[in-house]
Amino acid sequence: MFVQHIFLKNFRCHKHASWPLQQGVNLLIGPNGSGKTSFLEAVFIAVYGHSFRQSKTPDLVHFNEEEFQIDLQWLRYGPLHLQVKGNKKNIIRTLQGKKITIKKDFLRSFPIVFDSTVTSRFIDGTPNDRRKWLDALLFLCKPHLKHVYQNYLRAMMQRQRALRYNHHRDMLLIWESQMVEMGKVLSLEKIQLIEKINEKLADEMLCLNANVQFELAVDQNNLNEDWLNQLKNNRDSDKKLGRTQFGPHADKLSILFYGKDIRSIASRGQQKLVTIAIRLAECALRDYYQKSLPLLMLDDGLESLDSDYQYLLFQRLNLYLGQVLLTTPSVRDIGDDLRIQSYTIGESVSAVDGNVKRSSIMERAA
Amino acid sequence: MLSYEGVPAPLAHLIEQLSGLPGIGPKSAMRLGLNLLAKEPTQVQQLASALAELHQSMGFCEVCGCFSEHNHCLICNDHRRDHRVICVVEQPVDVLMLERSKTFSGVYHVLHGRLSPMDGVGESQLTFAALAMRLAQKDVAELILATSATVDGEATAHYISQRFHAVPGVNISRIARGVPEGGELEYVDEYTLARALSQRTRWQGSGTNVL
Ligand SMILES: [Zn+2]
Repeated sequence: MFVQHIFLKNFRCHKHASWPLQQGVNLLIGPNGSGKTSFLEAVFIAVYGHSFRQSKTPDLVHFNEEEFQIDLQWLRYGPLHLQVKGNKKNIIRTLQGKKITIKKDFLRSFPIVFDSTVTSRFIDGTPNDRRKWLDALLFLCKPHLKHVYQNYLRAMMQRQRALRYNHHRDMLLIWESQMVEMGKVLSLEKIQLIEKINEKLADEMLCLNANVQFELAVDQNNLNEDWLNQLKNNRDSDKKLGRTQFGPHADKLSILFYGKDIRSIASRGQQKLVTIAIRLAECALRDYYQKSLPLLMLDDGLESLDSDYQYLLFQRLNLYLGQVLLTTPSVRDIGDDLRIQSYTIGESVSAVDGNVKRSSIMERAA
Repeated sequence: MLSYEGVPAPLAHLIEQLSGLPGIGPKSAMRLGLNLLAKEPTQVQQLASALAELHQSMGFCEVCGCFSEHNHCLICNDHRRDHRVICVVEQPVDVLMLERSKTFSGVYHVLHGRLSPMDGVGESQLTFAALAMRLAQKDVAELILATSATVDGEATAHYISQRFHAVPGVNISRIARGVPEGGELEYVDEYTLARALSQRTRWQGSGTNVL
């Protein structure tokens, strides 16, 4: 499944714009402030129903306009038309003309993986952010674990409340055993997922640069046999802090580069490659569990990469069997041997022939 | 909140009372009030006396805690039932639901809630002491834990089994959970499916399979 065409109307800085796409790698080239990222944002909104930027819906609408519209033309078995219409208050999404109501199934039918420098770089995020990323990936791969996690959190909150009101230790033990019972399931699944990610990462690093070795590591404190005892021992300190110190809700996920925190020793270029390798591993796992390769969107995907690294990255992306959308302010020469399509914003993107294609495709979809 | 401007005080009073009922908003309360006003006075009198009687004549069984008109409920008074098997439930309404299945011939014990420190419910708010007394005074062979399949219901079941597992002669069991009868797997959520799979039972022919 891939996107054939993106049309924007009154969306952010675009009055009318379109981007025709091919099945493999697509570059969108344009200076900063030209609205490249808005194309990726449009796809994101179409799939998630909200933006990845911390901005309110009114900002999405073009200055002085009332309503914006996003049209995505996908090709799966046949053409699929995904449309977003939004005004200053709300967003309505339709698929083949039918309003979308169930969000959960939708995320699985239109898998996307998105990496952006707009919010914050993956590597610069807090361990908290990375845990949330890992949890989200876990729940996408194994949906029933989300319920296990909610139950774990409930048991944890009940224990904290029981601590605060000095409930009997027998009662505390009840909630603690519930936490351990569900938490163990979660921790084991997380460790397994990380092992799988690390396997994929090892493959990716071979593709990108044979000299780099790194892995994701999770705090395994809550996996040891004595977890229940640890909870008992921490009762006083957990009560004082008002929160439970250890468990899957507080895992720390680190990115190690030769065994050390990646930011302390890797160059910006290496960090960028590693980030993209993590996204590719994420894609591979989504494919493994959901049987569908995600659309990979890399915002400012060549940031800090010198020409050698750019070449490595293009070679790797060229092998990806799903679709890739990558934005960048500039690019070195792309080798002739690679099937990579590039568009320059302000020229090909909003060109007249783009709008001609638009009407013919829109008619077919209607 | 609906404005009662122009509505005579007795009617406004009734509407206010009605809109306090679950599932009834101010608009339906207004409709119900007007409907009652349009009815024959004798009919409304019957409704009023049913309401007045409810709390006077209804109470809870002294033994099991279920709804009852007298000190003991019909189930506890029924000698054909097996008083050696006690099914522990959270609410009186659970008894009514289980009775509808017409398969259980034992008696009940209603906890009147489930453990939840967040809602201020600890062991002393529930009827564990009464259950302990029943186990001490009567010959009980089995406690069936039928608390809800929520974290809190599960914790409550854990608590009961921990507190009473040492009582001699008493077996403790937990009701099964999983795929609903006549339910297509397609419509069962992933969590229930995963749980039903991990807690599967051995097949012994005809469906009466106990592990
Ligand atoms: Zn009774």
